[in-house]
Amino acid sequence: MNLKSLNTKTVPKNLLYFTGILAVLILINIISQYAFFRIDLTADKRHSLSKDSKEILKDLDDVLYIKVYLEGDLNVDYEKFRQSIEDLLYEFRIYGGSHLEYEFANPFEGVRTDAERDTIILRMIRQGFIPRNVISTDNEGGLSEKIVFPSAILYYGNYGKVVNFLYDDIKASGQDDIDFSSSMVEYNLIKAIKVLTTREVTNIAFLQGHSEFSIEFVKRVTENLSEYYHVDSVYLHNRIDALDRYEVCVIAQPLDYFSPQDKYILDQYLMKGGRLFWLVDPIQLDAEALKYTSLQPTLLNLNLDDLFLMNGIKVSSEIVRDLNCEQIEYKSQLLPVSYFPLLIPNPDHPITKNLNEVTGKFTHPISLTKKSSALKLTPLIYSSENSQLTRLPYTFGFEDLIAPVNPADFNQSYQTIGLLMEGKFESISKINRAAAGQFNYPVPDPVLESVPTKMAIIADGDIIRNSIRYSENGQILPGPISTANLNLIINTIEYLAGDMDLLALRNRKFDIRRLDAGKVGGEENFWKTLNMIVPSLLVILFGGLFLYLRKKRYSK
Amino acid sequence: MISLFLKEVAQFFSSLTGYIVVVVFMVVNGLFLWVFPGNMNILEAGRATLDSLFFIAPWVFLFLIPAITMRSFSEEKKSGKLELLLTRPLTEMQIVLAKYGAAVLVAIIALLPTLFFFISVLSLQESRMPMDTGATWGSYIGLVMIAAIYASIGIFASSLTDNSIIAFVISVLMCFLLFSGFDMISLMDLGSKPGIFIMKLGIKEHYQSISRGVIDTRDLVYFLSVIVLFLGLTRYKLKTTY
Repeated sequence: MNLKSLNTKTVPKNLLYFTGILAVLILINIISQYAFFRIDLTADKRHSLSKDSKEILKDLDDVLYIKVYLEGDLNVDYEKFRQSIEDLLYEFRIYGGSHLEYEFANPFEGVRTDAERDTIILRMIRQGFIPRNVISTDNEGGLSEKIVFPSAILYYGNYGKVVNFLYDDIKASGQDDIDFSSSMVEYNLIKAIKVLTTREVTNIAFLQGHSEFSIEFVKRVTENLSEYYHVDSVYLHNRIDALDRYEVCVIAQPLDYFSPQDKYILDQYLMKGGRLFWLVDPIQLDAEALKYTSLQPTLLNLNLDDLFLMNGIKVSSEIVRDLNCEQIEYKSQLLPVSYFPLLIPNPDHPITKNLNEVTGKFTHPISLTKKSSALKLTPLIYSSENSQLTRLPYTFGFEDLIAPVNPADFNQSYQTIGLLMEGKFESISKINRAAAGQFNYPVPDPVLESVPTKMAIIADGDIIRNSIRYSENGQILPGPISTANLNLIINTIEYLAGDMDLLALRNRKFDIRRLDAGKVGGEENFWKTLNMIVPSLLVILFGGLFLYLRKKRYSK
Repeated sequence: MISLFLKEVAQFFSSLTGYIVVVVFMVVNGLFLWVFPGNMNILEAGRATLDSLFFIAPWVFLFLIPAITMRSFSEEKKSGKLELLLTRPLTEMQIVLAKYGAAVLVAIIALLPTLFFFISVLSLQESRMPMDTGATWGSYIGLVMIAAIYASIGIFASSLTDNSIIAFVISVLMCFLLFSGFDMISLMDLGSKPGIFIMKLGIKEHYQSISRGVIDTRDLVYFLSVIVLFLGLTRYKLKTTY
């Protein structure tokens, strides 16, 4: 048979066969885009919906409509972001069923002129959407700029809520920004859905009346909270029920005396299951004012010691100095200020996991005076290994702040600055029966032991405050706050308010699995050598065995 | 078919070159993961993951797998054994599959010693937050998929020529283009929809997805499709040439 003639005949047949395979492959790939499933092998199932998310979606009893404004002319990064959101919503749909609808919309659909575009941008910003500039190179190599809204709006019943997906304060480069934000989409959407579906708003009180920080000083915290909570400034005014409607009461650096009545109200609020969040300084010393003048540190008479002692803790008037501290610029030099410690967040608690170091200003140590089996205590933030307890001199000036230190003195390690207490608390009424009688109207008998509840205490009020500046007409304008400080406060309040599922959802994305430094313990070279030699040795052993067996077989 | 498959595997491990290739693979990975300073270094980064391995391995595979496959058809073409093989009672597809299966098995065997790195990290992990072994196995599946795709490309390249060096160069180039080329093209400003489409034609996008520890049927379908495509091309080449 002539080979050549065979060839020419078989070519068309084989070509047809091959084209068939190609067509089937393309078809299968198209179908697979619509009918797919995923198996998440990760230990914490971090690429799947969390159990809490599924529950929330299953419990929808009205239509939740999600409109995502990532459509139209984006760049590749944003298109990928869009797809990750679409994948997530596809999964949402599995659990939400017919109660969940979503759509991707181009906010600039049908827009022709720049004026029209500007109007839309303005309207959307008004509604709370945050625009992003996307700069990309066009075909001629020039730069073009687009406005993108990486945001969605959620409707549920009569309510609507805007969710902005992009985070900008974590990393500087555009790429990581989107990767990080993709991992946070589920958290952001579920948080918004929770607000929309639970019609009852959680109320948070910021106590006033003892010269606590006014709203301008804690603006960054309250504006962040008010996205999901209702925040009030609350004066007690001798009303026994003043705090009853609040889930959490924040007491941000009081300076004045707490009357027995006020203390009784707070005490009974806690006994009935309210959550207290104290940020207290036993000494008044305004770190900001030190730049201009010397100050006399004043010991405050807050009248709170017995309330804390009752449950086994004491906030000392000593100051924690730390070699791990903030630096300030002075005469174009960076000087460490040991009075402004960088506090270490507890890596094992959901509140503080993955936080950066928290900046304190004149922090105090919290000490434990008795052990109570009814309370579970968890340190939230603490000083470093190289810290020291000290008392302040009679006058304290800027030169004291930057005075050189002797590192050898810093040997009082790990002072607790922030503490979380959970469990059953004891009322001060147990030892001080008189408190209830101070009211000029009849009040209920005191509850002496609390239902299980929570209290957090941070022995430095400055941690919650943002910096401030004054406008030309003398108004106070809020300035920035360190991200770690802000997150510490927000996380603590979320935890106290009982939104643990949200905290868990957020933390899941950050689990960092580390090597045990103790196990490596200076034996780096051993591990290096071992890992260089053993795998290659295994290959050679395998080879030797293989060749030996083969030889034996052939020689038989 | 099985006997051909076994013969192919045995052939690879009978030559010294086979072992040198695998040892080089282990040494390169070992150097990057354990010795060279930098963020690839497991001890330096202090993280209980093998992410560095899964980042480096596709690039090392780019040379390793073509070295495994380069001779599978070209050598036999040159020596004239291929005609002999085709007279056996085997279909072209069976021959292709036997040779392909052998190449994949060799690649997997070459991957096995890296499990020692896995064991090392496991024994150094912090017990409180242990290594995510599920995600690691997911990444291994991704790596096996890459090996399987590279092998199919290598087999095809080898069927094109009777010079194994040329086969090697062709398959390195094709593997590189498929792994990274589409990804690079998608970075040009083509508009977002075509950009994403082109990105998804490449291996990298799918590999990264599976490396996170998520087995997505869309990625699996992609991997299998590319393999079938190149094996189909190889069969077509054999059918039409002989």
